[in-house]
Amino acid sequence: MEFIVIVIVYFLIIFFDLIPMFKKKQIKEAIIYSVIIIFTFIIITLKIGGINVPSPYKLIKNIITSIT
Amino acid sequence: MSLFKKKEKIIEEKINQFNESLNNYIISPSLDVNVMIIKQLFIDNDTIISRSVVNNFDKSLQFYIIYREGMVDPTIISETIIKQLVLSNADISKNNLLDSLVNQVLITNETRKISSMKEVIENVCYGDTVLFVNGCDKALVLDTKKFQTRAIEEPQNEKALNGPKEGFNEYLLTNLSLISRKLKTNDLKMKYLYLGQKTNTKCCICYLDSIVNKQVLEELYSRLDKIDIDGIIDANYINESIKDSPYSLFQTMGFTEKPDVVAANLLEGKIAIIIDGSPIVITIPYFFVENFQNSDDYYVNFYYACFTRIIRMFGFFLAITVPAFYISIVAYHHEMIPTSLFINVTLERQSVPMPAAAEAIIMLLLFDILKETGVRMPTNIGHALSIVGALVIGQSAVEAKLVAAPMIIVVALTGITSLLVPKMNAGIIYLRYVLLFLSIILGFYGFILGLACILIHILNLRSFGIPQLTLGGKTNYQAIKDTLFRGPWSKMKLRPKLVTDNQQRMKGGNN
Amino acid sequence: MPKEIISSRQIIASIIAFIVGNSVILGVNSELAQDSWIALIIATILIIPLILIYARIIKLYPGKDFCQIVELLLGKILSKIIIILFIWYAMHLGALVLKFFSEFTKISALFNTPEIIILMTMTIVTVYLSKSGIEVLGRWSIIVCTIICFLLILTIIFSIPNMDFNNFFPIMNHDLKEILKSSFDIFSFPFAEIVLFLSMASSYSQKNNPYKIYLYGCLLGSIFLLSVIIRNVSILGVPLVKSEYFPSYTATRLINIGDFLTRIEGTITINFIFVGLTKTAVCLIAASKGFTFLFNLKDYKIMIIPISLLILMLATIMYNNVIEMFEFIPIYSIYAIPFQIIIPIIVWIVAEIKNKKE
Repeated sequence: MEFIVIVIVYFLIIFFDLIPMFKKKQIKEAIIYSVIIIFTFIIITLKIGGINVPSPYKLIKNIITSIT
Repeated sequence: MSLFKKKEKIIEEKINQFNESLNNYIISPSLDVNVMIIKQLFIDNDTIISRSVVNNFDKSLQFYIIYREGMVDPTIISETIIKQLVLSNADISKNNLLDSLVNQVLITNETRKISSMKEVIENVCYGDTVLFVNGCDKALVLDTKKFQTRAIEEPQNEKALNGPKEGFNEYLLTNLSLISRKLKTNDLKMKYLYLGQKTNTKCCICYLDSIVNKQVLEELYSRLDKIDIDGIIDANYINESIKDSPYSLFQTMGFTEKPDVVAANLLEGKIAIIIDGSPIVITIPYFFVENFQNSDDYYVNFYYACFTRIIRMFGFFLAITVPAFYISIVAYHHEMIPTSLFINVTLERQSVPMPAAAEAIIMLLLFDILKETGVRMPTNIGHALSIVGALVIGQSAVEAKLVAAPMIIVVALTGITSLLVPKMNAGIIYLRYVLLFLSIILGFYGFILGLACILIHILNLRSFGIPQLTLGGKTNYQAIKDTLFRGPWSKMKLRPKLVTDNQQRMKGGNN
Repeated sequence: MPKEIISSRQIIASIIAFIVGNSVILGVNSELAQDSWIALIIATILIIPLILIYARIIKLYPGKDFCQIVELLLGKILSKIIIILFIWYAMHLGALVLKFFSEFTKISALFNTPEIIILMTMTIVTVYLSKSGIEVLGRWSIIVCTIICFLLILTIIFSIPNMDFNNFFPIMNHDLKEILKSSFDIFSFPFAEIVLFLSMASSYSQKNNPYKIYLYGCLLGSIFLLSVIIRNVSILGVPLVKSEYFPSYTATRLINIGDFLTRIEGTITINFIFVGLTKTAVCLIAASKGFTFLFNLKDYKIMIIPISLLILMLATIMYNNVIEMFEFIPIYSIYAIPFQIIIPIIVWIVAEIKNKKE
């Protein structure tokens, strides 16, 4: 169920923001935009699906505890 | 399409083109050409009356007048125009024919010269008489207007307890006279302009020259130039064409039907747009707090005005939030109200079959239907309908356990408070349901987020470039003396800062 | 893009909202319980030199954003590296606030809602606020500040019957090292996060005095926090304050006026939502401005939606549960040193050197 909500929200974002950007020929912004959208979509979907995405938190914790 | 119909269409197009190009015709010196063009332009138009007039003493002076029956005063035409033209034996020089006619012969009070057929059409249609003279390439427009207009009465929607009770009517000149009676100064500028291709509506822009914000004025003119519409019937047509945020629920331009409100706004540096045919006058720029202001506030004791203004603001808040708040408490967060109160509410809701959310939506819809019928019903079934509304929906539904009593109270509260702020009725109706849905889905948290969204939207609104709700400038007394509450007149020394730079209203106010 | 200007009052209001921030629900760092007010005072003293440094940077280059100042001083490549670190810090902070918020809502109110929905709705409203621009954010902060003031005074007045000032004794039960560690924690969370306000510096109007703005903001914010600490410790007592995850929330739960006005902790969530929105919106704007500088884009408003999605993603993957989130707080003060202290000091030193040369 959450997946449907995520898909709807992404679809709305793409429809209202990304497509007009392509139409207005702002290519550079559109490419950065789409890269970020695809990246976040994949990771959020994985997280909802239950797959354990490695979090940077553990990395930071290890670094800091090794310093102090 | 058969060949015959195609030919008809071509002929029709050519006639249309001919008619349109006729509009660009200039008046020719020859009277016969003019007569022919006029007859072609006003063909099929039986209300246009035209006749030719010849002077008794000098047969070479031939005239042709044209007017619209029903909109002119026949006595003026016969006494001051035709009689003078026929009987006058003044020495008229052939060089300045029109000028000598104006100066020596005609005794109407207003005469103007025009040179294009388009202006002829405009003036004849409004009730003036147009006089063609043989040998002149200009025509004369003579003021002979007389038609019925509505008497000046108190506007239904803006009733005042104290203070002036005049309201605008549909005739432009009456409205302008009502305003200029209050501001008897040459500083009051009134500029005409015409809008609408088929209606040619005359509009007037009024402002006080020394106080007005010139940037807003320029912005207004540039937006009005861009209006390309076939007809302006009411002020709202202009409103939607030049608005800042056309899709917002809240108003960004002020509407009023009373001349004292317009005069007070003009004194603050705002601009008024008066439209012929509409009793509603637009004022710009418009601030958010004006939604809660009433002209009454300034004519009564300021303590009383303070209180009623705060009640109005609170009423607006209640009107949007009460159903949503009720649902979020009853359905989700039982702990937020005191326990004894909650027990009573639950007891009432025990035997109601529907979930609270469905009940709320149905009751709100029913109440809106009732309100709308109340506006449109004829007075003779008024009593029956109010009985139906009160007894059936209120009493019987509760007794039959279809609806819970607290729900009726909530709906009644919402309905009544939404009448406190009539200027925001569009906003209230939708926002009520939006907050209700958010509250149904996400509880109290959704309700608060919805309020935050509405607040952000209000903060975003601009009226002709000036932000509608400003906070965080100087919070001194002068800034809030007229917004949150109404301060006494002796303290209202400065005009609102955003509208104009010329701020000093009274002696003693230092900017 | 027309220039957006906010007045000094609005900046002060948003700084206060920022600082008061999470303490509405979390309470200030309560490890020391009855001595936490001492730690707060020490933290306030510690923050003053730092914000003077921030204000000095703004004063030396009036009307310029942090990103433009860095580029002027340090050249292209080094500035891009620094801005990348800055963006990462802003996004991480935004994700932290979002996560706090969603955890709190899940625990106290909406148990069954999947957390992504809560995060997403909060993100949507934050995007709306940030997209409206800095001017609207300024006006919004004033409203938020008023609401915070009002609710705080209200809860303090209502809790007076519950207050027991004996909870403050014995004073100085902890030794100096612990107090200093705790004050350093308070220093970095929430005070030194004001570094993010540097990125909006192009909107401060020229006649504002940045020193005055920052000093007023921090002092007023710390007065707020002081009253929060006093209220929490005096109501809850030492052991409860240390062990509760959400001390402020628990303190308001105990309010009981005449058996009628009870359980008003729901109204505290109003406070938290508004403040959380402000904080996340500032982080979002700071990160988008950094992004537009990084890729040489024209307007920062385009980048707001993708960065909000990145923050959302970070918030979902960062912590697996509440415990990890609370474990992070002691580490945060050390982790944030490079962003809050080292980078501004470097920028300041280079700015002073360049200024002396001219």
